[in-house]
Amino acid sequence: MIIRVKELVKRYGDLQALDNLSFNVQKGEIFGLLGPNGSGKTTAINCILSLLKYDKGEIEVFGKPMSPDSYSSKRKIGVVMQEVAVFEVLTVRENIDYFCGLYVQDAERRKHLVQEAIEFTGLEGFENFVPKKLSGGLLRRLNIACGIAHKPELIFMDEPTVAVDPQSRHKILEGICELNRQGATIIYTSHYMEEVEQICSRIMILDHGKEIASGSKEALKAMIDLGEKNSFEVYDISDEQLMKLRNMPEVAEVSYRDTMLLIKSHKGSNILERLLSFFKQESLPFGRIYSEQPTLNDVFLEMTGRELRDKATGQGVQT
Amino acid sequence: MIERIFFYRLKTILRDKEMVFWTIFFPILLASLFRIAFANLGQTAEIFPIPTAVVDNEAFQADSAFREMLAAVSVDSGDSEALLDLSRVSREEAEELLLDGSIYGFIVPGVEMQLIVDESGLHQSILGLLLDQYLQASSTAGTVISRNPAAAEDFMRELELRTSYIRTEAIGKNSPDRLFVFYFALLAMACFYGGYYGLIEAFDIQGNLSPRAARINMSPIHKLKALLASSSAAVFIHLCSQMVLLAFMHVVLKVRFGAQLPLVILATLVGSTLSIALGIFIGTVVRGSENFKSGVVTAVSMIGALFAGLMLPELKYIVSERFPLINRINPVNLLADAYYALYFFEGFSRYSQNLLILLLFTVFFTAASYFFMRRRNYDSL
Repeated sequence: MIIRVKELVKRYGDLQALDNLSFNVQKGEIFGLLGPNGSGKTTAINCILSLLKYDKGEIEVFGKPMSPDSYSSKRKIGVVMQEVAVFEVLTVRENIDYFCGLYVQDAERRKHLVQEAIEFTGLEGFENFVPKKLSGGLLRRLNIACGIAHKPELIFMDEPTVAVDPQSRHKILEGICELNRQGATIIYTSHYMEEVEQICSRIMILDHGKEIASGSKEALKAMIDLGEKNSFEVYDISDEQLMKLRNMPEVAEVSYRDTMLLIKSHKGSNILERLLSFFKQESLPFGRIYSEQPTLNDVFLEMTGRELRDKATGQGVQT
Repeated sequence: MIERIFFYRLKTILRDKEMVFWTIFFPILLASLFRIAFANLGQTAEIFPIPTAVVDNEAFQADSAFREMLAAVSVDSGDSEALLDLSRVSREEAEELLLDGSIYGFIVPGVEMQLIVDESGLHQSILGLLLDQYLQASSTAGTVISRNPAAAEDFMRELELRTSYIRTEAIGKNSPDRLFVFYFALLAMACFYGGYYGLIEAFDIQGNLSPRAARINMSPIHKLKALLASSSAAVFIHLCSQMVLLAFMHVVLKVRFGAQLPLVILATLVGSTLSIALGIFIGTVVRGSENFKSGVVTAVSMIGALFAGLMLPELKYIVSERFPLINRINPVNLLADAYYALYFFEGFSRYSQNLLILLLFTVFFTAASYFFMRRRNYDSL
């Protein structure tokens, strides 16, 4: 076990930021902490890294209690923070060299590691640029390079893709999986459920500093009653037809808004074929059809009654 | 690791153009402006000797004391700092000289000594003061001799002693020059701009002040060691920038520090160290935004320099006289006064006293910063 967090409590005055939070992270995992903004993800990481004091609980990293003086443990940890933390006047290469140098003293080895980090994050050609000359995506990649250049065994990544263009996001997520393949254990926080679904082997959903649920994405989705979701572009449908749909035993919920008819089914039901038959039978014309499996947002919605984000972005299959 | 932090800190400081401007070029610019604006303040040598005439009449010939006094203060005495360039002429010639502007005034000896001038000004005022002083002294001497001839000898000795005292104080080491008070206050103010470097040190090491500091705190380096390496670089750079300013003052502005240069450098080193310790203290202890803390550093250096005589040298004396405590705890004044003491006074007691207080301040701010900084994790970020 690489990390053990037991009954962690952190308060900011009256606000309970972490509420008896407990979890373990095994070697080789990509462990995702998923939750809306303010759910306690960053606070949990900062407590684990001994940057923040906490009110109660136990934290062990690499089998030892974590404290600000745990230099031997810190040496094996890499941190990619939510905010870009680099020197504005140093070049890309110098920034990576500076932060790598806090961990690696040998100049030759460091030179090699810095070059590897540049290549790994796709910053070749930008080595002599200062941060303000970089785009948002490249800046994020620099932030990552500074955190991982020393080849840590355990990497904390706190929302590393915030405000990043799709190309850089893809590159970053690919890089995280590659780091994991190379043996690093990764703690990944995000409020983008697609990212967490895509890369994490185990996920903990947080809300108000509390664990809502945890497990693999399949296990989490299995916890809710919702099955597939089908959306039809329909220009006209009568109340009677809507009622008929609602009365189908497999259907959990029907809603119709702005020409989009959304039909949610119960878990285990595959009703797309049945619905198509219904449209034919009712001579109901339709345009586009989307069918998607439940997302982590649905898990969060069912468990908390709230959306994970203001606007969920489902990954659907267009048919 | 420590050397690398030192090396990278040097780089970051030298590449920060705004900082380089404020800490190096701005003081040089300000010193140059002072030089242009107050160019005439220190040029006492151009006032003297004052072209003057004395009417060589019967009264002049009869008053040997007056003749001797004039001879003593005129260029004929061979004194390079003589007050008067004196011509002995007739009344008519004197009037002509005054009319054509060759002299500032002429003296008509007699029962009632007269000074004739055709306008008022600095030179005419000096001539008036000289004459008044002579008349007062000769009148006092006359009174003493007429009432108590036995005391005449003591009176003359006392007069000699008084003269001797005034000479020592005035010439002392260097003649007081208002412009130098500006320069020393400016030098001290520039030194305390080092507070900005100190602020950056605090922001880069206190995990709750910046993401960069948080990242450094999460690394396996002892934060106080990192701070020591980094702030040493800041002191080094700041000392170098002060040396540039000193060299500029010495070579271009002709501010002569003479044989005291090593002591000037020592005072600057102490001042630089204190300013950075003060900046770290403000960054660590004072609550508020980065801009607010920056404002505090500006206020300390600017207001401190103002009280130390920058802009208005008289303010230094007024504050010293009326609110002595302010100048005793004003670090900018203490440093300016250390320079001032080296330049104007024999001996090192005043210099040493100032330096000692500056060192005590350095110890205090360093200890207080350490006390707040030793917290290794934070309540909030």
